[in-house]
Amino acid sequence: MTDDKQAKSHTHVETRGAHDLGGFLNHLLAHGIDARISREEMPKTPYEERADAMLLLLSNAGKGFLNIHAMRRASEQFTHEDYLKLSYYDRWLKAMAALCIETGVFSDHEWQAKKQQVILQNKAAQKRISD
Amino acid sequence: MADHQNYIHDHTHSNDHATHPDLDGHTLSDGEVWEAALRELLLEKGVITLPELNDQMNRTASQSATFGASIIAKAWTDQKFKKALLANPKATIADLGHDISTMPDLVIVENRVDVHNVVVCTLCSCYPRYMLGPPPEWYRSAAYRARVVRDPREVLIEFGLNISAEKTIRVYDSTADLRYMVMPLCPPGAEHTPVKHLQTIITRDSMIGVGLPRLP
Repeated sequence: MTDDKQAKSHTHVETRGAHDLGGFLNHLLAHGIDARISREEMPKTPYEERADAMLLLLSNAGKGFLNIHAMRRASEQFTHEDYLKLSYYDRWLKAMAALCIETGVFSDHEWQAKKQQVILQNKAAQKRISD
Repeated sequence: MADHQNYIHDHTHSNDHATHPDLDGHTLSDGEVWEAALRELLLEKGVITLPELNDQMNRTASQSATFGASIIAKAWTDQKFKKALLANPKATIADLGHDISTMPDLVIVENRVDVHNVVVCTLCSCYPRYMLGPPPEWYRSAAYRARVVRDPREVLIEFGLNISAEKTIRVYDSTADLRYMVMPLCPPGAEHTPVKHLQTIITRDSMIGVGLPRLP
């Protein structure tokens, strides 16, 4: 059992992985995370539904392309800031992309270029709609 | 296949969903950019196909806590099944004709008169989806993960569940390889109710341990 005092000291040295949240309420508070548990049922947004489907397709429950443990390891390497700031699916998306680059599914260059292309397409669509 | 295509269309407002699913004029968030970029690259590289993506979305949409509830309801009314289920959950469920061989291991913890069980995944958000459907947002939240292991009684009160001080509360921490779920106590007298009716009172939250079965 870790007491609160110990948890607080962990907040400063942050020797734990960013994912290791059990019992560390003060760690959340120190990062400005709401400690209240919202019980609101939040249906997944369309992009979250697709992210969820990709996660399951790639994982060992699906094609076994990216092992779930590898995906966890990727998200566990995030900084504490990133880990706590990112939503659940954004964390997985970032981890999946990092692993795809690591395992050579696509290159970092392709990833950067594709993100840029998506952003430009989004801007072009916005312009079409406003015109 | 047509219904699968419709499924993705329902969510996209666009015919060219393969490349531009959410172009309805809003500025994409970082996550939306990452999702679109990842999906397009995986499709281009042939790692996944659009039908596979649609099929997976359909499979996920078809999963719910109703399945878990039907298993618990059967256990409440069939002592032999219950014993087997608690001893060897996956094999016992598979014996009913469900293919769950690729699913992570499952342990079902039984609530007792003197023990209330509650499940969390502190390190991640591991959850027995094939039994309970997709995990609720709060289950994945940093607040639930951090707090329920330290002060379960207080957290359960926030869920409207006041566990008497005489009862022990056990918190089970799921992992990627082993997922827990709770077998709630059958409300007194309800064991003689038909399984079909029983499964409607066994809520998702009662199988996570943050709720109790709804009274019949």
